[in-house]
Amino acid sequence: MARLFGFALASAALILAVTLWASSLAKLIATCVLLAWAIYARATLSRHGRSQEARRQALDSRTEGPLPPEALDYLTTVHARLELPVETRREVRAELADHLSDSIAAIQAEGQDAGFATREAIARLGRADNLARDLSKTHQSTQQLLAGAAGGVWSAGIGALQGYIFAVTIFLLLAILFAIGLRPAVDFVVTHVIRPNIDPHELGFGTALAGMLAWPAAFVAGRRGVQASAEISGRSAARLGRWWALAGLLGLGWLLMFVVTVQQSWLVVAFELVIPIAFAAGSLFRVDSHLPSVGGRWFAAAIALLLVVAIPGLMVTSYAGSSLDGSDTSYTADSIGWNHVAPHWPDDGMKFLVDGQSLVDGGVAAPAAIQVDNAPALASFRDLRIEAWRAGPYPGADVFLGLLDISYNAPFATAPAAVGPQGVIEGHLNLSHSRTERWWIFLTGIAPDGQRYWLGIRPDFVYTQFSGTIWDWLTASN
Amino acid sequence: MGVGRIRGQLLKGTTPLLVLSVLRDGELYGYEIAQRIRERSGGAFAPSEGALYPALHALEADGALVATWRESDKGPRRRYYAITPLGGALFEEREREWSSFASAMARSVVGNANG
Repeated sequence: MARLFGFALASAALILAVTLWASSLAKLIATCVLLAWAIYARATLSRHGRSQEARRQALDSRTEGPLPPEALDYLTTVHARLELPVETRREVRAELADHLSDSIAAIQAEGQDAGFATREAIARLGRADNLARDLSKTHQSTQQLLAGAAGGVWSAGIGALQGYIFAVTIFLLLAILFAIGLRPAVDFVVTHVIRPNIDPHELGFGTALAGMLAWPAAFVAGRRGVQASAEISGRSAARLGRWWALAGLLGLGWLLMFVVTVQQSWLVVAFELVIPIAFAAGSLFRVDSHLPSVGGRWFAAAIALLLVVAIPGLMVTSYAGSSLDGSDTSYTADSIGWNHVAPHWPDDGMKFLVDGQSLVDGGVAAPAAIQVDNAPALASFRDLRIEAWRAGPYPGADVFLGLLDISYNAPFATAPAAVGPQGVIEGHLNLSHSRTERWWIFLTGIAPDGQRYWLGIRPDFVYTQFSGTIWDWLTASN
Repeated sequence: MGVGRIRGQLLKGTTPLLVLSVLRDGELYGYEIAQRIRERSGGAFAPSEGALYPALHALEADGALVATWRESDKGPRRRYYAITPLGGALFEEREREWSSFASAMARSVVGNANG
């Protein structure tokens, strides 16, 4: 246990060191130490588990002798006041019951009546509160608490893996059912009953699904972490659970809010925020009761099932996803290579040039390009630039038609443009940090009269995906 | 402050030593340990049973004792305590400390009484 404590401290120090001085050597050393710590923590937990199992079996096979009600009340009070793991509390109660039984019998053998003997035996043990407090203290030290935290983190990690495998297994089974027969029913409900007026591109469906699969993982992680730390540290799971819940809410919340970068949407944000809540629920909700134990055979069966159903399952999810994505191509701003932010378009209106400029779709290849048939006509324009305008919903329509969002009178981003080879206008835009995911890309330029004209437009709007943390999403503009 | 209370306070710190001493002769369960201490002291020492179990559990947590549940001669399974090598070493160390302390106390108290 002391070595586990030492490993935990060393690991914490190394994590801190790596955070401050993130060199390759420091990372390598930290990884080796963490690995060693993990192996040792696992071995410690294994030994602890065997010891617990032996004690549990001994208690299960034990039959408690009859005791007077007064003695049973005393035992119940001590048991309730003990701030120890369930098994330890059972053990203490059993031991004290034996003691009271012997003590009462001995006092009676001295010629006293049963009532006096019971009261005397209880008095010799002292006040129930004091006994429970003193017994609790003997099982609790700071070193054990830290060792319990280290073992708990390990168990939480294993629990997360188990919970995730469980969730993925269930999901794939449901996906197969969906493919076999439920899809028409789901389609009917979605199309004729729910009729959602949403754009699937804005949902981040895949990311939201991944977040949902993490809920059971977080719940099991919280539960296993609390129980392991309670058993190792000799403390009450219910009491430790509050700290685990708080740590989970803060730790996981911080990670998801500021560190984990995924495709975001309001749906994804909501699903992500459930993860720390699920962890807290696992740490708090009836934490003294153990989850159903999954034996090695069942675990192997789940893995096998995953492998067997993974391919058809993934095919099904891919099929389901295609109906949501439609035929449009989605890609991130980063993948396009737009990397330049220009100041907003001055609010002096946009004038359209209608003297024969025609456009041909430049496709989706990076960078954003607009093919101009009559490139020489642009020679009289200066300050050419491409502009990204938000595409918006057509008022009153059930579906998004991708028209210009008329609630904005300025582009989100602009960038200098230049006529490249073969009459292609190129520019680099940065469309990050905006929740908008559909854009119209315009080409504008200033004519000799000093006015800026709309010279061209990509014929179809561009999709982007918001990739960032929850905080990025919350602080992004629309 | 009554004599009984003074005796209780004196005994509180010596309970682990008394426990280790009786367990050197073989493993015992909680009630037997209390009885054995009482018998050995001729009834002079009757350790508080409320202090006995915390002391037993603390010694077990320190590795000085090891406890196992097993059948007893009479009644249900009991939790038997046995001394470990670490406990043996601890006993010898505590015994030396106590002897030194008791000698010093005796010299001091007897000296005052005589002088």
